[in-house]
Amino acid sequence: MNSKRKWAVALAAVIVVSLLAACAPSTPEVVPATTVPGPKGQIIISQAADPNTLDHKYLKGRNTQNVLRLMFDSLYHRDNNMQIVPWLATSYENPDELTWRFHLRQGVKFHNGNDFKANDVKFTLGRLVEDDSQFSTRKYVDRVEVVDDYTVDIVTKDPYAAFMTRVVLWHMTDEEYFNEVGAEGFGSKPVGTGPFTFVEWVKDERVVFEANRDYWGGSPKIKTVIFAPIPEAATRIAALEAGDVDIITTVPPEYVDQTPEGVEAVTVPGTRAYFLAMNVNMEPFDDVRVRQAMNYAIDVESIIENVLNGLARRLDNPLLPEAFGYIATPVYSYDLDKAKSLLAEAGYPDGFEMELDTRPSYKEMAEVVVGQLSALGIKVNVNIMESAAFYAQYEPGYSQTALTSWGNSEADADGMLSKQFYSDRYSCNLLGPEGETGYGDAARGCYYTGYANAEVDAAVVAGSRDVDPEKRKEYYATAVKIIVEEAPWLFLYNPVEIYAQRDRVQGWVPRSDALLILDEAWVTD
Amino acid sequence: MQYLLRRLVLIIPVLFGVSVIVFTIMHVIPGDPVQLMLEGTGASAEQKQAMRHALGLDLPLPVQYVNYVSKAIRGDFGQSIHFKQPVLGLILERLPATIELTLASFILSTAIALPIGLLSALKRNTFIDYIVMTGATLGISLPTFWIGILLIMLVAVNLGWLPGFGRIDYAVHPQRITGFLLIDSLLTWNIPALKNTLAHLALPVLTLGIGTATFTTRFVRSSLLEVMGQDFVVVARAKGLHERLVLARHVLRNALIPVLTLIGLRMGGLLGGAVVTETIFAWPGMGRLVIQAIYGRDFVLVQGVVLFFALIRITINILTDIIYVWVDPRISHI
Repeated sequence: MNSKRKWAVALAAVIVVSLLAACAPSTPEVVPATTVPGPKGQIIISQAADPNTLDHKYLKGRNTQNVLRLMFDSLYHRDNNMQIVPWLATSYENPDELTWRFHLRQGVKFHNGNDFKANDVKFTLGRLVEDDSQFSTRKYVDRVEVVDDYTVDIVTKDPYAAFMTRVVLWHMTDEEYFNEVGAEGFGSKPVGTGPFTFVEWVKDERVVFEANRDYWGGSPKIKTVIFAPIPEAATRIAALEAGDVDIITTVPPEYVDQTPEGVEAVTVPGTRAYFLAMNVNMEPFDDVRVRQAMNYAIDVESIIENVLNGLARRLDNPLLPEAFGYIATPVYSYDLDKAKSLLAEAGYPDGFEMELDTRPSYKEMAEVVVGQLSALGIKVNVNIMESAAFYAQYEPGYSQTALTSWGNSEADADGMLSKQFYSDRYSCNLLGPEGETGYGDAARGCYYTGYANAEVDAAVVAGSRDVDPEKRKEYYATAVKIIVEEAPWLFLYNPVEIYAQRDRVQGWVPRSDALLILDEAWVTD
Repeated sequence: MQYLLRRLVLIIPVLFGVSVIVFTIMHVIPGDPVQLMLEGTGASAEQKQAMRHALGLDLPLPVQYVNYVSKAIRGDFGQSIHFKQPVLGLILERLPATIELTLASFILSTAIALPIGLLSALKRNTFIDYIVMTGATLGISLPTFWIGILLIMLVAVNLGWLPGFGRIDYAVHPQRITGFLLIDSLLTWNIPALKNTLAHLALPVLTLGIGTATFTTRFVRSSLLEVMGQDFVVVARAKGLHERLVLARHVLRNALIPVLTLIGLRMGGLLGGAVVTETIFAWPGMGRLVIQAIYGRDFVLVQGVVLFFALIRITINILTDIIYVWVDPRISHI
């Protein structure tokens, strides 16, 4: 009975597929995949966790992002060099400084056969701006207007120059399908326009995808992609070495030199900046000389070489070289004498005692920092807290100093500067009148380091509003130079992202934004 | 019967107590769930307040608790903050995997411990006894995660005999009816799936069961030795009863009561051990779920899972009590 039914379903599927193939209109834009053989083989990817959802409105973290990216496309896309390129939209223009008009690619179909049109863009964004969405879209998108089937205007609340860094994150969903199956139905069987179609999700075991042969960008080369989450790094490595999985993410640095035959570790500079945040409203860090002395007192080069096995780059300022708006700035190179004289000038010739808040994963680094600061007579009390407790302390500005990091996967100066150094961040108003500074404890800084500088503010605002790239670069250069000079951070390093893969995997490269793109990947056996 | 009813009714205050404790802990430890949920989304203070209100987090704690309990009684344990799905569904999806793992470990550890403990007691102070006791001490001392990773490295990677993670291979998927893969593959008479499931069970079951097995072995041994020294055993032997009968009727039966208590307690311990074992072996069960919930400060989900763990433990305790009566008719609760 059972197998009979299976046969019937299979037969029906074959008939439907061949009928669809016969009826499909020829789309001149899609290059027929005659030169490429059909998709074949299977690839298993092991990340540390299962996706938290398949409904991208609730998407949290890169593990989920990587899974969803297989099924969904965005209007624009970041290529492997982090350049933003046309994707579901072929071009855009700005009729005025608030309006972003996108011209959509024609002939793109969702996996269920529905056409991708402007109403789907409007629908997708309509969900992302809702209150329980994980996206910050509601902060800057005012409304979406459908001009015609293949033209759509997205209107922002304020001029927003870094808008395209957001566009690449929105996974387009099918309005008709969503309304048909509802949120729950969509979450359990999502449909997108992406290179792979959803097959099944067995919680904490696997998410399975099949190649979308009709993908508008050409069929992928791999037939089946499976995400099999393994939380423990040692088990992930074992599974890779045993040949049970093909690519693993979040690999411990010490593994890089230990890969056996058939396995290769691959690295790429990540987007995370590690730093020691100093609260500029608390003694002794209210004195810029003390903050500079701290920067001179740490030998970052030697930390990278000896503690991190060379798997990191030194930060010269908060921005990473890949980010739009980055400029090279002078580095606070290790100089104990300079640090000592700065401290003496500031009135701390014999050092001082300070509190350093951090999380368990930063423990080793905290110990290194403590050791190096002791050369200045600085006594550090390290408080290691569980993540949530740490944020409860550090975010509202209660930490005297904190060892932490910040990701800048949007690869644009706006993301980093507006969230970490702009005085009006997160509804704070640090430069406002006394008692009206907003969130957190006003006296202690309201957010993170409590850093505020009117000139930096002006540059950050101008840079976020002006769509002229050259002018933006100038604004950010101004801001970055001031920030380096005033040093609310002790600038540390930017670690690499580490993956490991079996050598049967070809055509895949790790990306600095940690996104796994398998459009071009194939396997050899 | 009356006793059983009384025990069943007693579940309610125990669960109530557990829920109060978990609820209080999750709400007084530092860290704001709304902050975590909206981290990096650039939500303003007003939006956070709105979210707090929507989740009922701005109400006084006792009110929040009453709301929670009144919904829980109706089977609504709330919506997971991390997964955006009903908690009950998330738990039920993973419950079979955990039960399969702990039950198998329980059976394995008991099957190892009873005969070896018996052997060791009978051959007291011989070479065999020393070997068993040394092994048992080692087994208790070795941490679960260490054994787990060692087994994976040795058996799964170097020897390639058994799979080192997961519950079943993708290539063989039996139709899921009950969620218990062993039962499902038997029901559908899918022998490859049955073999595959057993192969996947082997290492995690061994890892989880080894501690319990060694612990129980020691206990069985000492319990037997104690009973063997009692007067009624001497009398039984003096009566000329065959040694085998003395053991089976007099010694074993009496020695089993404390062993049963211990085994019941250890079963609960296995559930706790499952948290570590599931994480090492990427086993898709409740232990792994609760870890994800704790990291994500998903207090709704943590509450739900802990309540379920409590419920399972209480059930095991009641079962143990019932088995007492069956083993030793002298124990009567009526």
